Parts: sequence; structure tokens; C-alpha cells
Amino acid sequence: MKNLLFVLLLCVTLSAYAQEPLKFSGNFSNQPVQEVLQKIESDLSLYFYYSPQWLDSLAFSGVFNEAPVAEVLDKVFEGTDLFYYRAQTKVYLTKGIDIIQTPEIVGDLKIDSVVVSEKQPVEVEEDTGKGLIFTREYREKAVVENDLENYVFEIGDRTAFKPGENSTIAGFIRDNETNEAIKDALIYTSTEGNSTVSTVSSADGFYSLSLPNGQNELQVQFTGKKRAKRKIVLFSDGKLDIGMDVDVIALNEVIVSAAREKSLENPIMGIEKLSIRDAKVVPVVLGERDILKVATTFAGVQTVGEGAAGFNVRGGKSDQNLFLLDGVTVYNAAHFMGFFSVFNSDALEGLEIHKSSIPTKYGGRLSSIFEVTSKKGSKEKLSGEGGISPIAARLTVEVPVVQDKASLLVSGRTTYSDWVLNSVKNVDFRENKVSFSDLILRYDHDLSGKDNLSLSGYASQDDFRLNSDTLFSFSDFAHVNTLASAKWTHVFNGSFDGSISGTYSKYGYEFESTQSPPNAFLQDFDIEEIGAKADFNYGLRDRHEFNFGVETKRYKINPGSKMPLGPESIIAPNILDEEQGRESAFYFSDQFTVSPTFSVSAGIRYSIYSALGPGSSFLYQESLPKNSDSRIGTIDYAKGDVIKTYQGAESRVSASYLLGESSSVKASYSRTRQYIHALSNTASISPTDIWRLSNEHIRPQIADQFSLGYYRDFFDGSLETSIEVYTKKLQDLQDFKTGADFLLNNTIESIALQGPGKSYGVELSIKKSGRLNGWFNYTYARTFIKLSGQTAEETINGGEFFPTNYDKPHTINLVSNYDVTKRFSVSYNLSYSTGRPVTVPVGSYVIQGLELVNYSDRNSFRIPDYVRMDLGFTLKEGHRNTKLSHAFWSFSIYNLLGRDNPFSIFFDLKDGKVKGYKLSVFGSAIPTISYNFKF
Amino acid sequence: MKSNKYTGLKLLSLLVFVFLGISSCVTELGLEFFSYQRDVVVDGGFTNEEKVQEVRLSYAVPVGIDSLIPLRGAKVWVEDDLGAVIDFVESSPGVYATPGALQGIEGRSYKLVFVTENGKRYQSTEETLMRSPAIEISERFAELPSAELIQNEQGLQFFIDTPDGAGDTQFFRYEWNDASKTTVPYPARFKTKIIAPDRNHPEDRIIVVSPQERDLETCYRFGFSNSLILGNTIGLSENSILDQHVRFASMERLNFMERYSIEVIQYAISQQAFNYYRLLKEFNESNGSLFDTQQGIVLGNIKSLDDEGEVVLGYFEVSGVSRQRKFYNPDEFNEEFTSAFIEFSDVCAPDEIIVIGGLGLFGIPYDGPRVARDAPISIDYFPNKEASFRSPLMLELLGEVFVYDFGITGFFPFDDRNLLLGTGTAFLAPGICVDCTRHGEIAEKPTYWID
Repeated sequence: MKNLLFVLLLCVTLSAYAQEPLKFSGNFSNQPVQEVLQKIESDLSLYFYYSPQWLDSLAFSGVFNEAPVAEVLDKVFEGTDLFYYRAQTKVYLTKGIDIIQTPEIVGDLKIDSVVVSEKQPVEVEEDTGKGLIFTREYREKAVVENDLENYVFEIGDRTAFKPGENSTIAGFIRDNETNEAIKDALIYTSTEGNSTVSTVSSADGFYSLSLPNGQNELQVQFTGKKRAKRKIVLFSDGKLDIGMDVDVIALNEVIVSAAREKSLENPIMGIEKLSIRDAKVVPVVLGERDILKVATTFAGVQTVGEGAAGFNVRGGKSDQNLFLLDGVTVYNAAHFMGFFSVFNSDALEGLEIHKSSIPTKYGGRLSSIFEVTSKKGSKEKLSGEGGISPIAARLTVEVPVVQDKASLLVSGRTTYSDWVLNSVKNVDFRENKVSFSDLILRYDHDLSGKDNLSLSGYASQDDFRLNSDTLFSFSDFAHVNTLASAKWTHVFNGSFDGSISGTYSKYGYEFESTQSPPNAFLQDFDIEEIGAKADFNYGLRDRHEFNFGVETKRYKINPGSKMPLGPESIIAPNILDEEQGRESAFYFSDQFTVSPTFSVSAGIRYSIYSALGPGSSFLYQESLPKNSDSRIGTIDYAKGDVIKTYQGAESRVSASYLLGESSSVKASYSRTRQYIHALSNTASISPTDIWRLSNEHIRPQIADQFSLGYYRDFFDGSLETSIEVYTKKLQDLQDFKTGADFLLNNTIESIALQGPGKSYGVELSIKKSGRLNGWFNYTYARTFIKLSGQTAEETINGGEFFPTNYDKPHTINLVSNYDVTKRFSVSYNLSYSTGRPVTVPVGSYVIQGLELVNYSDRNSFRIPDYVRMDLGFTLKEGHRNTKLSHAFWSFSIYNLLGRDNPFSIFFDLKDGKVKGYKLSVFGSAIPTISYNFKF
Repeated sequence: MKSNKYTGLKLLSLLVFVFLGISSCVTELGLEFFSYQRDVVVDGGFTNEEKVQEVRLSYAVPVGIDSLIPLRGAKVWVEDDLGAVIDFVESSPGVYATPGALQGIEGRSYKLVFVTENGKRYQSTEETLMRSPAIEISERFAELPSAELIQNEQGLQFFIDTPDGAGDTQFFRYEWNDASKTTVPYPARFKTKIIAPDRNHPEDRIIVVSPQERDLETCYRFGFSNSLILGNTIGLSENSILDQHVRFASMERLNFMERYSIEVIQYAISQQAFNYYRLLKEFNESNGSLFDTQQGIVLGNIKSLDDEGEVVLGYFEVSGVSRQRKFYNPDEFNEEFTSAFIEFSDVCAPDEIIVIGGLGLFGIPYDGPRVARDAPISIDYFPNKEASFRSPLMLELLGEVFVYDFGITGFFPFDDRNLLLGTGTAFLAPGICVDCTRHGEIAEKPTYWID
């Protein structure tokens, strides 16, 4: 970059000559340069503009006696990589970028008449190219903070300049601090009077744009980064790398603009991006910042209740979401039954949710993709972050392993004490334990400018132990996620790159019951997924972005085994046959910019799934319910035999049309197929849910979604609005007979019900950036399922469509944050939703002397509506660069009004009578204080 | 069976609540807004025990309504697989019984048929009467978490084993009933009553002591199973029931002070019946957690012969029965029990206080007029069988402590307000030591009771 860049500050070149030399005297002995500059500032009334960390380690010794200021500055910066440029009373320092004042170049360009002093306004000849008018245009504008923003970069060979034609500008977008490539940054032209041309940087930060020759202005945006602006004069094809700074203020700001700007023109719909900084401002219960909990404030993302695990995205079931951490499937994303997500926010870069047009490179789940990305460690300096909340302590450390080349990120979190349990008076009860922990490791190595290797590992564990004297159905319960991935990215050339990755994911749980020796047992379940993927991106003439690749996954499931524990146990070992399956897909998509206002993204994913042997499969008499009575035979399959194959194309098409500068319409269609299903009969996803594969009796689930949206920005993009309408049709939605028992069941087909489903809705959302920032959305959404089988037990609600237990028609979310000062901010949340449907009794009766309730139609009643307000305050300690560490305190009140929001309604026998109850999880306001630090 | 409510994930989620310090709260709902379906309910059994066999027919009632709508006037009979018919007669509204004691036979199948007054016909599937193997009750000291999970409750867990194996039967339902006999060490001979004539002058409170007419020495507490208890031998390497949980009896409720007895009844049932009860249990023992399973209708083995779509609730249970009753004295339990066992002597330390008639308790001077009498008296001597003392706050401060006896020495003068003057001794002890109704009810010794 140093060698490539010649910076020409045209607007002030000539005026520099008119200055009278200032004289300076001083005697310095190993004094920090910053102090030297301060003395010059005060003596000569000059003002220096620079970034303080450039001067941190610099000292200067020397004596000046009435020396001209230019000579003084030359001396001071001798031997450093700092350059200065003086414009009257302002002196700009640059690091590694020399500001060349070469009138000769100007002469070469035959633009003498253009580049003139401020006293001589100039008429511009039309045919000299529009790039040459800036002197007059920009001269008046004061250079404020970042020099680069007002420098004018010359791109290409000026002798090759052809007015009226297009040239290509390409380069890399990088993070100035870590020097990491920034993926998905939006690069677009903001040249007045021209239509906008835009692109998005690839995984290695690469971008290219075809622009009209001459003057252009480029802007780069990315969540969590300051918007970067570059003024360029484009002569011919050339290169421009752009570095982005962390948005320091953004530490406490909700930035949605980047994703949004992109979304206005990007044909991809239904995408929600969340940077970890967004998550920081949202008040959370119990002080654990949780990116997935924040996700529930987005339109179309719901949960069944407070503290419930699992999400329902646009009317999808909770097992229809694919959670990916750095590309690896996470089977259980919840700690503590759903109170917390398994992702430690400190180690994350961000979250992207695809809820309507899912990119073809993803598949395997019907409703959505939750793509969680971990943070790359800094390759420059050791840094870290940590915090303490009432529940857990966490620490993240970034270690540069090879300076500027390789980095390691280690992030861990654990519940640090059972103090609540310990505070319970009864000694016996203290022997119970609940705890969780998780660990993220990530190693990144820049092998060459073109090759990157990234390795990551993840583990999470939840442990529950109950006092062994007590007599429960089980005493010890633990569930564990283990993930690993390796990814090699290669850039073939500026328009072609690709990556190859391998992934491993395992989820399992285990519980034991030991209190009754004759009945002591150990029971477990696990699922293992091994995958490989090759993914390529190819850009063609700035108008096509091709993405294609192949992917394959191998599943191995132990659906459950129960083993006796101890010599006295009379439990018979019961080990269900393992299930194997292979899911492969190839995909191809093209994001095609048809015209500056119209783009289309069209792609296809073809997926093939096979259930593989060894295994056996039961045959049933046709037209009878599948159970042991109708079983007529068994087919055994040898290892590697294909038991059943399902395959199909999944088309994904979307298009956007810009209606002027600040509004667009989009439409999309997307089909998804799902071959693996979580067996659950409960409202919430639970850690003991069992994943089973499609087989000859369990068909894959298929969904088709159509959506249509209108997007409009106001106030220069600081207020963004959108309305999206969607309708979804589902086939073979997986459900179960009432009261079905999943554990150790080797004939899932005997309890499974499959039926069609339908969902539709409208999502209205508003996002605002600025000092007062946040988002608001309203969703109207309905979701229904129909279960109509041959017999009464296979038919629910008379075989008609009925609302699912996550059907919540009206939802309102408001997340807002106000920066009172740079260090202090206040945030406020409001959440409202219609109560979820529940099944309620239609009568009570007595059997064997016990009063019992009679349930009839499913989900015929709703629990009362949910309303909650939260308030949060964040106070940062002084944010000076010289300080070794930064800290912030956050204080929040969850459920400010202390509203008794019902979580569920249930019926229980009390004193021989059936009574209805409602349960509230957080029936009062919950204040939390947490301390976080960064070094 | 409190323990049954907190199993598996529901329990763990409660534990998480406790860990997080979340006080989830449960409030009662009004029930008037739910809809109601008037379905026919069959609650009946037919066993191999020689007795009057009973079938109860009724209609379901709206939730929260505490009454029964009997199905009257039906014609009810049971048919066996040989075609024999046993007629049932309506003995009280909705209750149909065999005219005399009779018993079902092992291995034979039975079905219930009934026709309502307006001619609607119902019939159960045939159920085979299975043999119920002999059972043996055992017990162990155990701790269970309290409902709020913040402490453990100590007690005895009673188990069932089938020592000779379960034979051909795999599915069982259990019922228990128990009784505990308690004799208090200081049965109250007096009733005490506090009279506070003037609120503003608590020192003027008067304790009125009168003879206790009821004998508060010995009581029995009776308990019955109030939930479905099911057992099976599926998934076991031998076909026998071992360590089947039946009843947890808390020691905190002083169940074992003197003598305790429990009877467990085992019903050998069909797999179909077992599955029916399993669902009933699952749907009726919820605690509102998100891990409650999806509820739905539970259909038994009875169908309408006229309308296939009609919902008929309940089950006609045909079962073999075996039962065992055991008696226990506290010293027969193990050491763990003994160390946790609270004896009356630990809590009853009786107190004596000197009372001075008319002077009130604690000798607070009384300046009122005194009338002396010379003869010694007993309690029977009190006019109107009642004696009164002035008491400044005394009994309220002691809370649950009661005057169970009263001894009088020396002079026993009464003043003109019938207040006792002179010196006496009031014997005080905690309520649980003086009043056996704290431990049960005053009842005749049960017929099965063996001391």
C-alpha cells in the first residue's frame, strides 16, 4: 500500500506556496514527540491532526533556533514512517502515506487551468473529464478528521485516460487495526449526479467495480466500522485498497446501516444482520449478553416463551433452523434449558439470519439459517476482553502467534459458582449442582497474500447433578456439543476465489439414575455429523457474481441406549440400532446486476439424501396405522446399503428493483428440504430432543416460501423502513401422536404424523441510526398445521388446519438506545406478543377415585398476551487510548413493570380438585449489574 | 406422590430456576371461560377378589365444578368370554353393583356393556383377567425436595417388590392406603381460651380454662393414594418388579410417632390399560414447564355402539389383585431413620409455671378484692367447670404452647368475679404434645389394626 499509493491533495497544492515561513525555537531531549508537537502548536498557533497511537513510542532530541517550521517538522519526523502536510495553520500527519505536491503532474495533465489557487475560480471545459473539477468543489471544505477521506486518489495511468469510458477499480477492504480482510463490506459510489454502482467484498476482502473515468467518490460500509469515503480520479484500471477503522463510538451504538444499505439493492431478502455491538445495548436478563436473545427482537423470529430454547422463524418449527458456528452445525444452541445461548458473545463477530431467500450454499433446514461467526484474533497485538455477571464469568484473549500472519483466539465462559444453590439454607440441597461452560478456539493463518487457513474448535457442556439421596427419575444429566472445522481459502485472481472446508459436529447427552440399585441405569443419545464443502465465487464483468460448490455430510446417530449401572441392576441393556445417512448437495447461483436498478439472484441447490445401512426396516400392512399389529416383515440392510434415497431440486430466486435513490421492491421464492428431524412433543426445544433421520417411513419435509417486500430509506438512510409479506407452504411437516414416547423407540414411524402446514404474515420494520438508535417492528404472522390420518389417533382437531403452539399473530418489538454522552447510554426495550395457543380441558371426571381433566382439541385457547419493558444503562470508563484497559458497567432492569407475564397455563390436582394455574417465569422486575473489561 | 410431579426435565428446569434465583410464580386461574363437553365417563373395575364389584357411570363436569353428574337408569352387565352374563344393579345414583359378592376368574376375559335410559349402547373391549403376583413392601429412609425445591423433606420411601417374579404379567397399577397411630404424651385435660375484654388493655386478658371433654390422647391419621402409580417390567432383564416407588411418607408430618401401617394393592392390568393410565398421568401431572408434553384426549377401552365418533372417557379395568399390609413401630426402621427421627421427648419438654390466682401470671400484683376459702379443691370443684386467670400476654407469646393440665395447691380462693386467687401450677406443652388431633383424627381403631 505504501508503494502503490500516491496521494495528491489537489485542492491545496498551490496555496501552499503562498505561505510565509514560520520560525520555531526549542530544545528537546528525548521528549515524546507528542509533547514536541504540543509545544509547536502553542508557540506557532499551528494545529496538528493525527492519530495519537502513531506517536506513542516516538521520542525526539534536538535543538532549534529560529528554524523554519518545515525544517523543524522534517527533523522531528526523520526516520519515522510519518509524513506531514501543512495547510496554513493546520498540519496533517499521515502514516506511511506521503502527500506529494507535484505541480508537474498537474502540468502533465494539462489541467493548469483547473488546478489553481483559491483566488482564481475556474471554468471547466466539459471534455476535460469530470474528474478534474474538484479543486473548486472541495477547496472550501475543511479537512476535519481523517485525511484520507478528503485526499484525492489517482487511480491508474493518467496517460491512458479516456474520458467517457469505464475503467475497473479493484482492491481489498481491510480492518486497519487487525489488518484482517473484511467480508461483505458494501462498496458503492456516491458521486453526485451518477447512478450508484455497488458491490460487496468477498471473503478475502476483495472488491472490484467498473466506474466511469474521472472523478468518483467511493464509500465503504460495514457493521461496526466507520464509514470510509474515498475520492478518486479514475484514469484507467487500477487498484485501491481501503482500510476501515473500528467505529469507536459504535461500541455503544446500534449500527444497522451497512446491512441495510446493502439490502436496499441486494436482491437477497429476509436477511437480518446483527453485530455483537448491537447485542451490547439490548438489556438482558441476568447480565449475560446473548446474541441469540437479541435475535428474537427481529421481525419474524419468535420463541414460545421466556427462557425457552429454540426459535420459530416465520412460522417454522424449532428444529427447522440451521445454527452454524463458523460453518459447523450446532445441534443444541441452549444452555440451561434455554435461558442462555451456547455462544459467548465476546468471541463472536456477528450473526446473520436468513429467513426467506436462503442462499443456495446453505440447505438442510426449512425455515432459516443462523450463521454465527466467531471473531478472528488480532494478528498485531495481544488483547482481551472479559466480564462478570451474576451467572457466569468469561474471558477472551486474542494472541498474535506470528506477527501480522497468524492469530489465536481463545474464549471461555463458565458459571463460576453455585452460589445461589449454596445460599439455600438447607444443607442437603446444596449438594445439587447446575453448571455450564463453553470454550471457543480459533486459529487464523495468512499463508500468503492469497491463501488463508482457519481452524476452529468449540465445546460446550451443561451439567446437572441432583443430590444422590433423593429419589428422582434421574440424578445426573449432562449434554455436550463438540465442534471443529478447518477451512482453507484461496484467491485465484481478483474475480475468482474459493474455499475448501471440513467440519465435525457432535452433540450428545447422557443421564443416569442411581438411587434405586435394582433400577440403576445410564441412558444416552448422540449425533455426529462430518461434512466437507468446496465453495467458489466468481465475478464476471461486475455484473455477475457466481457462487457454486458441492457439499456432503455424513450423519451417524445413536438414537439411544440404556445400560444397567452396578451389579444389582436388573435393567436389561437396550441399544437401538445406529442410524446412518448421507446428505449431499451441489449448488450454483448467480447474482446478476441486470441494470443499475434491477438485479436478480437466481440459483439452484440439488440435494440428495440417502439413509444408509446397516439397519433394518419394518414393513407394514398398507392402509393400516403403522404399529406392531400391522407389522408384516423386516428387511435387513448390510453396511453401506442404501435403505432409501430422497432427492430434489431447491430453487431459490430473488430480484430487486430500485425505485429511485432510496426505495426498492423485491420479490423472492425459495424452496428448502429437510432430511433430519428433532423428535419433540413439548412446546420448547429441549436438550433431550432426539434427532432422527428420514427413512423409508419418514419423508423429508419440504417448504416453499414466496415473499414480497418494499424498502424505503428516509433522511439519507438514517431511517430505514421496510414491509415484507410472505407465504409459506409446507409439506410433510413432522408432528407426533399425542402422548408419543420417543425415548428408546425404534419404530418412530409408529408415533410420527406428517401433514401439510401453512404460514403467512406481514413484517413491518423501522430502523434508525444516530444518537437515538434502534429498531421497531410489528409482525402479523399465522401458522397452521393439518394432521389428518386414517384413524382417530392419527387425526388431530378433526383433520382440519389448526394453529401450531407457536402461532402468535401479533408481535411488536422496540429496541432503542440513546447515547447521552459518549460514555453513558440508556436503552429501552418493549416487547409485546399475542399469547401462544395452548390446549385446555373441556371437562373433568373421576377415575379410580382421582379427579382428571379431559382435553380435546389442540391449541384451542391462548395464554394472555405478553408485554415486557426493559431498561438498561451502560457506563464506560474513560475511553482513552493511553489506558491499558477499558471497562464498562452495565445495569439493567428486565421486566421493568414487574408484569406477571404468563409463560404457560396448566391444570393440576390440588386437594382432590382440578384447578387451573398460570406460571410466570419472571414475575417481577429483575435488576442486574455486570462488569466488563477489555484490554 | 408428590415426587412424581418433578421428574426429568421439568425438575431440571426448576433447578435452573433455583440456580438463577428466579422466583417463578404460580397463580390460580379462574376457570369459567373454558368450554365444556358432556362426555360419558366409565369408571369401573372387575377383579378376582371376592366382593361386590362396582361400575360407576357419570358425565364429565365442567372444570372447577366439584360435583358429579351420575348417569342414572342404565342397564349394565358384564359378559365373559364364555357368554356368561353378570348383571349390575344401580345401588345409588350412577353406581352399579353386583347384587352380591363375586369374583372374576384368572385367565377369563370380560367386557362391560351398558345401555342408557334413552337406548344408547356402549361396550368395552374384552379384557383378560391377569394373575397378580405376590408383593412385598419394603422401605428406606429418603429425602425428597420440597415443592419449591429449596429444601429436602425427610421421610420413608415405600417400595414394592415381587419376590417370586411377576409371572406372565408385565403391567401394574398400584394403590395404597396408610394409617398412623399417635398417642400424645400430655393429653390435654383442659381447654384454654383467651378472653380479651378490652383491646387497649391486653394486661386484662383472661385465660379461661375448662375441662377437655374429648379424649385427645390417641388419634389415627389415614391416607390414600391420590395419583396414578404405574409399574411395568418392560426393559428389565428379569420379569419382576423391584424397588417400585409407591409412597413417600414425610417425617415432618410426624407420621411415625407410635405405629404406622401401610397397605399396598397391586392390580395386574393389560398393556392397553397401562398405556391409557400412562397418558392420563402424563397429561394430568403437569407443572406448566415448557417440557410438559402436548396434551390431548385419552381414550380408554369403551366405545359407543351407535355413534363411532362419540367420545367415551374412562376404562373398564379387569385385573388380578394382590395386596399386602405392614405395620411398623419407629424402632423398626434403620439407623438413618432413627437419627432423623423426632421423638415426643425431644419436643415436648413440659413447662410448669406458677400461677397466682387473681395476680395473673408471672406474679403481676393484683390489687382487687380477695375472698378466702379454706377447703382444698380440684378442677371438678370449679364453679361452672371453668377457671379463669388474668394473663398478661402470656399465651400469645408462647404461641403453640398450651396449658394441658393444671394443678392446685394451698389456698384456692375465688374472688367476687370468680377469679381464682392463690397459688397453682399450670402445666404447659406444645400443641403437638397435648392434642392428638394434630396428628390425625379421633377415630375408632381400624378393623385391620394390630397393635
